[in-house]
Amino acid sequence: MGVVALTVAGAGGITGLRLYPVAKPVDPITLTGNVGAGAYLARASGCIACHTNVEGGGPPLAGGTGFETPFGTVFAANLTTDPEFGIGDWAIEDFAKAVRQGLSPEDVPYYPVFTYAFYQDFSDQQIADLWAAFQTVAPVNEPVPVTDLAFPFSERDGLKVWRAAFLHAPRTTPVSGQSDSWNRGRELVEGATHCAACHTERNIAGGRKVDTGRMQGNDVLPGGSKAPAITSAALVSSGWDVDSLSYALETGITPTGDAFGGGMGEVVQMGTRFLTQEDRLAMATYLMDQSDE
Amino acid sequence: MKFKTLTFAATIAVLATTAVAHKGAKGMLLERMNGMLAMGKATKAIAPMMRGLEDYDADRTSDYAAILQTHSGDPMLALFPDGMNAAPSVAKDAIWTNWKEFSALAVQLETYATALDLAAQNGLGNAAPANSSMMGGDMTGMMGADMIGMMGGTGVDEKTLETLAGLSVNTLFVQSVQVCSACHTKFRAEE
Repeated sequence: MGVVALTVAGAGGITGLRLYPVAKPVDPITLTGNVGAGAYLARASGCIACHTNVEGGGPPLAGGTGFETPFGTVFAANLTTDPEFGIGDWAIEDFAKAVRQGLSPEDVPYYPVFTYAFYQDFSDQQIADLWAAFQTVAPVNEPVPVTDLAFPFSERDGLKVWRAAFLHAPRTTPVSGQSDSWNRGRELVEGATHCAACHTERNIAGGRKVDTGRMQGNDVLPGGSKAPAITSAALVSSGWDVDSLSYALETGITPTGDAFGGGMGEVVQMGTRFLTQEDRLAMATYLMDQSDE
Repeated sequence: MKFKTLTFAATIAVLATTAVAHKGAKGMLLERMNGMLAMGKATKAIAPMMRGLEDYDADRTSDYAAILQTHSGDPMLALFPDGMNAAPSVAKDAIWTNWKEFSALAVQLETYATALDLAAQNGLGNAAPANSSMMGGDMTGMMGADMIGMMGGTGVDEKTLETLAGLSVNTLFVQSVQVCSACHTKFRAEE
């Protein structure tokens, strides 16, 4: 009897969650996008790095990269213009909702392996730019492996609860009194380049410990790798300064003469090495002086 | 005499560091780990000059290129016989399952090292980044030429030695270490 009651209650809860709305309305976006600006933002945001299965030799942005999390393996989506397996049949408003809200066109939440939390402040112009750039990607008519997590994580509607608890606004608001470069760095580090996604410790539910673990490093990244602490103090004690950090974001060289591998190697190779010198310097300036903590 | 003493002290220091970093490694395993260490130390030493923070010295560039040549290409590949892997090595088994790509990167590093030596007299350029074309406003789509190159397996553009030798030294240096990073990303386990 008790089991039946629990099952009914559970089923009722899931149905309730399914009906619970989380999507915010997206106003029509009629701005003209700039392909170059969009491609630049896409690189900065890691779209190419995560949605390209480099290990498997997959085509750019065709997805398929597997992220092994404690809850199961999540596979990156195909973001090419293929209408069947990619985003070729989406409208720009669908794209805006996916990027800024982490929701599918049908309002189904994406797993937070997708770092949409950091893109919530993207402007309509930035969305239009990204959209224009994605339209230049050749279609790849191939599905990606289906993300198959164990219950209850398989219930994406359960992510609505997760979002209520752990979806935080990005810290991209400019700080008065700081230089333009510092604020640009803050915009990139806390937003598009989503450094905190890897470099912040997570709780048992996979939520970032934004109060106690911010930029303190993470020893249990998907796939078993680690990300070191990148608070300003930690960076200083590891021998970094603005100059060497900016140079590392271009080249991958660390102050010890080593070259980045792992996730950071991918970040540089597919992302930050394509940024302007000014933007890399801005990121380094902010990271070495996260003084509003 | 003083110079000899300093050299001896430096050698001891290097050996001591090596011993700590590669504790337990023997034979060929130790040899290849030391090769990587040597390239890292040389890179650390020359990076300030390549960044324009120290006066340029063509001989230092040639010496650096020689170190890279010693430890890249065929000499490097000879130290990775099929499946020879054990702690404390951080080599991934993917090296042997994807030997074609690994060996291409090793050869590519050797090519860049050779080009560095040939270009030593070119000196430092205007810090032209290796990928400046992407940012020059001529990016007509998401998949610029560099991106296609990156997906081609080696992580950097395929260029002829002749073309490379015409580049500025700092550009070649950046491209060389980007090969190192591309290789570490795919074939080195992170500790």
